Amino acid sequence: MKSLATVLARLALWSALATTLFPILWMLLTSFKQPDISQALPPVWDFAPTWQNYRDVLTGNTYTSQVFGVLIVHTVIVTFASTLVGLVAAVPAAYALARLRFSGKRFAANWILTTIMFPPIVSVIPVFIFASRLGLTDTWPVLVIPYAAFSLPMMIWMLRSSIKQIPFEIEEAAMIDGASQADILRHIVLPLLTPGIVSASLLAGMMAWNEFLFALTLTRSAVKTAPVGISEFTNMYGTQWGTLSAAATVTVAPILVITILLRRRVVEGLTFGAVK
Amino acid sequence: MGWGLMSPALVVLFIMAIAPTVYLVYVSFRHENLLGPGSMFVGWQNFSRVLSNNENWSDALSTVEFVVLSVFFELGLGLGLALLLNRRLPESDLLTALFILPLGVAPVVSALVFRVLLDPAYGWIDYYLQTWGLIGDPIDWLGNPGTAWVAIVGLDVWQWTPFVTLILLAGLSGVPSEPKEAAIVDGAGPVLLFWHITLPFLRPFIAIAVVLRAIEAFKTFGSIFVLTTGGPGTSTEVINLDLYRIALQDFDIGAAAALGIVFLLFLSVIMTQLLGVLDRNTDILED
Amino acid sequence: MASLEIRNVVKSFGAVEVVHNVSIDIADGEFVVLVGPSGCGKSTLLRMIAGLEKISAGEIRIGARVVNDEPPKARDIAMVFQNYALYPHMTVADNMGFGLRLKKTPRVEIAQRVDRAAKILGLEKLLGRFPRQLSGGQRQRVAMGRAIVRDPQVFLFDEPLSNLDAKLRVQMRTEIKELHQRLRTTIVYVTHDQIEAMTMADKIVVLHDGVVEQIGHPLELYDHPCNLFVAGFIGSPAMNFLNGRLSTENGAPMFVAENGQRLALGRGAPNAEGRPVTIGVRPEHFVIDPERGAPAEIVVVEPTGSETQVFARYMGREIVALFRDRIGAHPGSVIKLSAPPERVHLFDAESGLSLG
Repeated sequence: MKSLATVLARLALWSALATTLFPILWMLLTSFKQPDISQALPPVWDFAPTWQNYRDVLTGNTYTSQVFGVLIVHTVIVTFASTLVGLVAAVPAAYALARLRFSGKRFAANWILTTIMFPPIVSVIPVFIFASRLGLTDTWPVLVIPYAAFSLPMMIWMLRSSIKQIPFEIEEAAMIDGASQADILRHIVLPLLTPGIVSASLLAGMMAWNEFLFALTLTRSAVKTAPVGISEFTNMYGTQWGTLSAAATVTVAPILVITILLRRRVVEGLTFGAVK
Repeated sequence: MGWGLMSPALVVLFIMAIAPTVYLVYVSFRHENLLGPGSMFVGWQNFSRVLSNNENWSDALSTVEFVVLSVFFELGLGLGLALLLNRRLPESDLLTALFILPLGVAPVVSALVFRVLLDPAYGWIDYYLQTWGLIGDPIDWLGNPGTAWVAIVGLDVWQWTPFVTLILLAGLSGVPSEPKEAAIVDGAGPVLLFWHITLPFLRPFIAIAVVLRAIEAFKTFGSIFVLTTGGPGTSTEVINLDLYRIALQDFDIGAAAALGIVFLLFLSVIMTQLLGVLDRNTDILED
Repeated sequence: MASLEIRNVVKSFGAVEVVHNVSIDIADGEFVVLVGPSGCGKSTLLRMIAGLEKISAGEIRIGARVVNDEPPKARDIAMVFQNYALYPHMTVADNMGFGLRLKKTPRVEIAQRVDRAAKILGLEKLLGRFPRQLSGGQRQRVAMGRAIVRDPQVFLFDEPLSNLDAKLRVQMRTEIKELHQRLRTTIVYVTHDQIEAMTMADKIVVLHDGVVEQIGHPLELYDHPCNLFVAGFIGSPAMNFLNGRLSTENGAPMFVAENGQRLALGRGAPNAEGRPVTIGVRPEHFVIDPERGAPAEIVVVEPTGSETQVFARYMGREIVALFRDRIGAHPGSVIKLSAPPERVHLFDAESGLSLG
């Protein structure tokens, strides 16, 4: 009986996996197809792969308004910048919430948590208006600050729980060893917090990389990111499957590679620290 | 000293949460003309327009429907997958690593891919469904409200079930074996085992997964925007898309602000409930 | 090397006072043990000496300096924690050298001092390992090494042996004692185990509910406990207590138990007929006295080879007696027991204080 259950379980799992990976595989496959077979029905599974689509995407030989490769560069810059800003703000806040006692702490902690409820669409309207009036649309800060703000609550919460996992006794031992608060942060807390920081950074980075609404609303060309570029392929989908899937793969590949390589940290980040 | 350490974070959040809200409240009572003169105070007009517009109410209903359906299916499938993966088959680790992948795909990209796959003329899904004899004519997935709903919920489920699976899997691996073994010795079958031993231990994890997913589901924009743009018509339009249309296509900022405020109020009620669920079932919120 | 003065120290957490007006004098180079049951305030007191807890009232002086407001790093103390509190991301050598590194001591000197401490504690081969690779006893030694390297004025130990198994505990006890004899640094040691206190201390401070019950040399506490608590806390197996009243017989003071049986008391006993008292007799002080002893019905006999522990019903109460020799008796039989008058401790039944 046990082996029948195992067989059924295996069947269920592998079918679920096939369903899960199917869209990703389609994307990958189609990106290597020549235009004449990319849309063919019945689907062509056996074909000579070509890099042409990727070349077109990265050098601009598509119907979209900009060279997609440039959009990827923008995405990289925005992702790194916003993650950095997020970390600089989140780490001290997390330490304060984890270790210090001060009045209003409970209120601050709860308020920070409630900001994740904010639908981006609600904040994009005022930000768009302000940015337009100040001429700041299509500039780096107009994406970097909001992105940092989006992932801040979760980053703070995750880092707080990571810090709490460091036994306070170790900090006390350092105090007795002669460490100042700055020494403790530098020599004890930060090194031990490294996995947590990696996870929080992955969370923020992935969110920034994949973000759509703010990029759509607030950028035109100077700072436009890959997800917005991808959405422009929708107008051409009838004839541009190859380049579309190539652009999609290029957008998705870095994240997927990181997800596979840094699996544990990604899981910790994506589940906001619930899974370590 | 505590407030000092928190200041950078508080400043950023202030810019992105408080300031916009204040501005929205201000604008919701006005007719705002972005392009020229004519902005003026209009009192409660925006609110009454927004609240009397049936379309907004049907969008509100759609939003709630979307969240409930998505979270429901994600929870069910996620639990099933977690239980299967927890069996410690030799390939479990590999499978888990692969199951995570949808979480890394940008929602815009997955929406686009789904859209292409669901195309009645060239999409692979209709093609294979026909070839395997499961349907007669190709389904115009995005052309009919019913199937469009299947599409958007299906997309969300595809994208986010791994999230629930990961959390529940972590919970399952933490279920202590002793109560289980004691129950087996006492003669409990698999169903009873699950209901009385596993499930109680899973409660905090289920709570976390449901609360986090619900919060994110309410914020969904990109995937629905790219997949159906709220269509056909406005059958799959959720409030986020509605707001986008009113603000950034119709440029009726006052109405958008009013609708946004109402939505925010609704969300804060939901948030309080959700935080309550978290507090009762887990110890995450404790100091 | 310094003396330590704790003067009228009070500690409150909010409205709750947990340490009540404690004063203790510790001489330079002394090994002082703070002992007491859980919750008696000993760890809190130690942490106040370390500077990890604020002092609500009173003064603590290290050397001649009042250190109330000084942070731990200014007090020139070292502490060994119950859970070792080693830095998990540093090697043993780095753990031990961390304090010196913070003071920007030249690397050569750090290495020298770390090597010296490692040699004392037998850690030479472990210097490159990480805490997670070490056993409990090894981790404890590293924690001590970390303290030794700093060469402080006072060593503080917070129940360092509680997490070790029994055998290791005995071994480490001796090692710590040897360390003290070698380094002659002032040590304040906290434990709930009175055997540790008795074997290691120059001076024991018995604490109970935030109050000092008695301070003295181990044998002094053993021979002359000043109240019921100290009498029952020090010594293992614990002292037996019997309630009754004072009386005289032929001019000699007598103890009359609840069931009427009698026990002769020492000459120092007060002459107060009928006064309710509690007497205490240590298990090892009972003697078999076929002529004048009171009957004890044996319940359980536990021979350990070198001693025999006997549980019996005596004077209406259950008592424990400990004999060096093998006792031929078995459960159910009756032996006659008494105790030498000078070994019978007398306490006032109400206050618990010692009487003579």
